[in-house]
Amino acid sequence: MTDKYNAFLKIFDTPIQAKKDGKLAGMKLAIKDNILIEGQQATASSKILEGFIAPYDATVIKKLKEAGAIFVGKTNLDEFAMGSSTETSAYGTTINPWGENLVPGGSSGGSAAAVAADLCEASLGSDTGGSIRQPAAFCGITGLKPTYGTVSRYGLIALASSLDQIGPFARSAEDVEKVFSVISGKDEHDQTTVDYKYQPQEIDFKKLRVGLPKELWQLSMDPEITEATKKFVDYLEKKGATVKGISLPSIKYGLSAYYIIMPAEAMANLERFDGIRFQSSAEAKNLLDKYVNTRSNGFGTETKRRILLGTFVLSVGHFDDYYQAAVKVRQLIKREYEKAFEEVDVIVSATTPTLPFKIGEKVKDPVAMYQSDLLTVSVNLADLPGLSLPCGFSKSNLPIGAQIVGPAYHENVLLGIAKEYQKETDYHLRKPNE
Amino acid sequence: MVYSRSMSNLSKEEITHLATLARIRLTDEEIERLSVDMPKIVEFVEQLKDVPNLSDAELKPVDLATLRDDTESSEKLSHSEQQELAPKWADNQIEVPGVFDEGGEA
Repeated sequence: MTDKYNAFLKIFDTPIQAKKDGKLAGMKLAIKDNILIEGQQATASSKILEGFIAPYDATVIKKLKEAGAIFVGKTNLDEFAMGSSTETSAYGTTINPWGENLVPGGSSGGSAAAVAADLCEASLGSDTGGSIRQPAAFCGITGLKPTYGTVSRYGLIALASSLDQIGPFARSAEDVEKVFSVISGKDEHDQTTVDYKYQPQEIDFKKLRVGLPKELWQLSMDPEITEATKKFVDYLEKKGATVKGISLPSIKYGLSAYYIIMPAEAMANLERFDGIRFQSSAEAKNLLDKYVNTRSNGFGTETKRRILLGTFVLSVGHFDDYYQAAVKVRQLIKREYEKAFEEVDVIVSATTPTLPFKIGEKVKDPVAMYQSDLLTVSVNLADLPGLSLPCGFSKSNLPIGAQIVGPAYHENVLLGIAKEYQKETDYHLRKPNE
Repeated sequence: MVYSRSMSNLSKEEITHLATLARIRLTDEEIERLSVDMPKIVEFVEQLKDVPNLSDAELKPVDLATLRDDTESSEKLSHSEQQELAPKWADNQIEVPGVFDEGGEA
């Protein structure tokens, strides 16, 4: 396999297949390098985990092995999944197959690029604030962020434990569904998982109620994205769905709340990297220096930035103003979604406010980079499922994604809609350089 | 350490102190860059002060946490697997530098 996009950090010399039969027999998958496969590297694209070999399989990996899947390699990501472009990886950025100077999105950019470049049939990513959906949109493929608790996080290197979810990428919603049905379900090792069994659903579009939140549709975004997403909504309407405007007033504070809660949890989760347990260990004369030297040398700039931000928002004198306020806003957002789902069955918007941007364009301006998550973060804050599917192309032949959000545990509705749409369109089948 | 009221006024000294709390030593270049970036980020997240009626919002979680049964896990790392993971091992214990060794602070 030739990977000219740096989508992979490691391509296995011999692909890993534990069983020859099963629901996914023979399906070639790439795995984001923050998900543990026993005996293989797990770097989270950080120097601090260089040399670390996973001592056990993540639960999702065990399930995929049981289903006959073939693992072809570990994919690149933003360091510790902190980013929206895969540019913060300590091992170089990934290039979007749709343009050699463009980012694939992030943090699961390697997993998305690998599918878009036909280096595998499906892949796993993780989504904390949009890190599956945004790269799916940027790479012209389908990506699902499941309801929080439907997929075990055991064996996922944690970023923000109340927001992280593992989810699948593939060209088609049909393949995303196949992978999701295997990886989902309760797990004794992750007590945040629920008793969940995926059941596909046929969609009666004449009974479908679609909500368009004005707060998202009135945002400033690329006009070609607005046009393509509107055409997707028109498709739903032509199929018989009822479309109405709704309001989610607190959603405009979602990005601010996210960039308080996520760094706070990430700071706590990354305290474990101390030079004692995970192979990488700096020279030091005493224990404190061991901690400081390992962490200072091992973490990249964005990781340090978010650790400091998390430290600040949890510190005495700031906890109430920042962290407590963000938790309250999170509750408001969650309740507003629940109220909206009393009137509508799904909520539709664009996945990203911009087309794939250039490598280097935003990496030096963190606030500009964080804006990439504008349309996706509130779905994580509300613990809901969100799917991004290709719904068009720009005049410059760059892919555009629409996002469908559903009530908790209604992945089958999102996938049902997407499967039907993909029977009648071919955006998900288009390939770069064709 | 008394912090500025908001991070918009965060000094380099305060940024260094935050790093110390997080067990990170910053280079001069990193301090310089963070003293530009961090205030912008915090100015951005301070939008939450504009949320109306936030003081009335209840804090309690919507879903109760599900407690795991107190049963033993079916999977454990073997002794040899643990030994492979630790950088240094001596007398069946993971070896680390002493807390009170040369120059160290508890």
